Amino acid sequence: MAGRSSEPPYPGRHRQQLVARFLALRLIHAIAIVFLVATLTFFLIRMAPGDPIITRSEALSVPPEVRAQLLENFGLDRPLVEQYLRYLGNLATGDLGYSFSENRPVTTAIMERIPNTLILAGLGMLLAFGIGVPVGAIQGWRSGSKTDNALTVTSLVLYSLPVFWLGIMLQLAFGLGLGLFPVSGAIDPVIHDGLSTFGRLWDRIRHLVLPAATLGAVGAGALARFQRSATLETVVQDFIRTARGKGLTEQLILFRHALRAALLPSITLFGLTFPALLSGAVLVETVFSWPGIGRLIYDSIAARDYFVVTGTAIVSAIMVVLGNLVADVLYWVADPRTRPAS
Amino acid sequence: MTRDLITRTLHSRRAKVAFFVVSTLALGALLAPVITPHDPIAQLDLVGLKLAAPSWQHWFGTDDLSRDLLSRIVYGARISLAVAALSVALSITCGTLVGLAAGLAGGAVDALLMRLVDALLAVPRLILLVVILAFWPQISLPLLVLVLGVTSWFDTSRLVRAEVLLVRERPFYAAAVSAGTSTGRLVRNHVLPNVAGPIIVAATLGIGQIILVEAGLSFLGIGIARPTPSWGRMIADSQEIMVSAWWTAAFPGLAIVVTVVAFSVLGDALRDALDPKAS
Repeated sequence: MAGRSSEPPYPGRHRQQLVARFLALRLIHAIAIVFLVATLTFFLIRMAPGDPIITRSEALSVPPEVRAQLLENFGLDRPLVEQYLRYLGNLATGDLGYSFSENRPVTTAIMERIPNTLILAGLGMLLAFGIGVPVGAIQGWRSGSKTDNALTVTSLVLYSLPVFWLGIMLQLAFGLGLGLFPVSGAIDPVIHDGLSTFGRLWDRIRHLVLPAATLGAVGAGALARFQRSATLETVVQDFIRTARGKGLTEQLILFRHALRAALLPSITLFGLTFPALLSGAVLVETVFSWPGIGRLIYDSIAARDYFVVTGTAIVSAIMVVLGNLVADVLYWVADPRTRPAS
Repeated sequence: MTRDLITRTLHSRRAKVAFFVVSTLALGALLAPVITPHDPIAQLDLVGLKLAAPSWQHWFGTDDLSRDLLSRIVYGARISLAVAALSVALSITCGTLVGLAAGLAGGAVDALLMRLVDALLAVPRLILLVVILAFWPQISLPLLVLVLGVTSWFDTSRLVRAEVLLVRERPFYAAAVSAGTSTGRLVRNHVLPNVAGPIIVAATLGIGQIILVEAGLSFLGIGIARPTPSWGRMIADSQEIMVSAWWTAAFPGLAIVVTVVAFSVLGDALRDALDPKAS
């Protein structure tokens, strides 16, 4: 802990109060954001002409009296302000509305799929950080070298790939072509239940490989780009020159000094990449029929399922806000400079 | 100055290639009716030319409706590039105006606008777009441009706001204000020149990103209606048939990759040219 001596010497109690206040403020901010998101989604989705039953009836041709009944059942015939207040009230109790197509509460449908999305997105993020950050650091450290140039082109291409197209190409090559991995779902619906515990785990892992690799590859491209410039900014700073002046070996400078400082921004990135990761997950889950909230969104677009779309938007915002909260706390722990002064 | 910037931007071979690719794409999109070998929506021969593999007659093959893929991809460039260029222009305008408003007004207006930006950034972009667009019975080009534009200005507004705040701190600002210089003039002379560079870079990179987002949306079924060729929709449609016809999935995707890479390279080159110490 090199920064220890430069830290203001907080008395224990005072410091605890600071931590509590910091967390409380962040939490209030987080709740305000979720409230704003709920308000925005409520009004944005209603900007489309007509009502959800009309758009649905294109395919189903619902008789007018049935439609009126449906609108009444879902409270969609009430004045907008009343709908909005009721919606906020329901939201406060965790009620996100009713799913037309699944015939059950939206909250239940989303909760059931969140673990799958978290597994996929979590593994994707792990791959993205695990590959992208070291690669970017090497590039920044050896900027201008042949390695740097080759990796720059690679990360640029990865970053520019439409994630759903990469998924389809991997399906074609490793799934349908070589037959190495399954290309859809989270488990094999035919044999899964008959397998041993280990067999079932293995089945799940095999199904995860392609979707997670797809998500991770595109994320790694973005992270390598970011980490490269973060490292570049660090290596020109005075403390690196000082370290060099002290006669330290290049390895020591890289690992002990440069990387530690250059890794800080990637904590922020953990919070920042989360929304992008969820956007990517929607597409990847669609390609691989992965039973997460992304696939749920896709299915509910096709089914014109109003409340599922608003519900997933709110839940994804909650996930993002929580991710940012975690990033803030991590940053606070890692970098004394960002802590609030006493 | 401008000329110097262009020379420095196109200094590297990579940037020259990217510039060539972008120009070719733009030219191809403009001249699509003249240069494409076939009508992009004509079903040439449903029996004989269904899912024909790439050949001298059909360089990229044909799809399940016997339409020529190369022609569809060239026409698809029109939609992608037009949507991207117009949305980026709109988003930069919005972002600059909001950033100026927040930075100049300060106080409650600033706080409100920035919390709004926080909230809009908290919803993953694709999901935000789905919320706005999923329930429109039909999506027209102006609607798509409008929605993509007004959901992409957040970064620009932060950039401009930060610059306004920075300028307001400087001693000359107070001097200029007390001398009666108008706000418009201050913005024109001291804020905009400083953010112009970062905004140009953001716009160039933004075009690539919007192309990806638009393709993702059409892949989800939210985009310009069929049969108008769109790269994302072509990939979505290929999912059913790609096992027997890989080209229907591969070429539209390659078109996206090449376009986005070219814009990213140009954006990076512009950044390096504008800020020599970054590289």
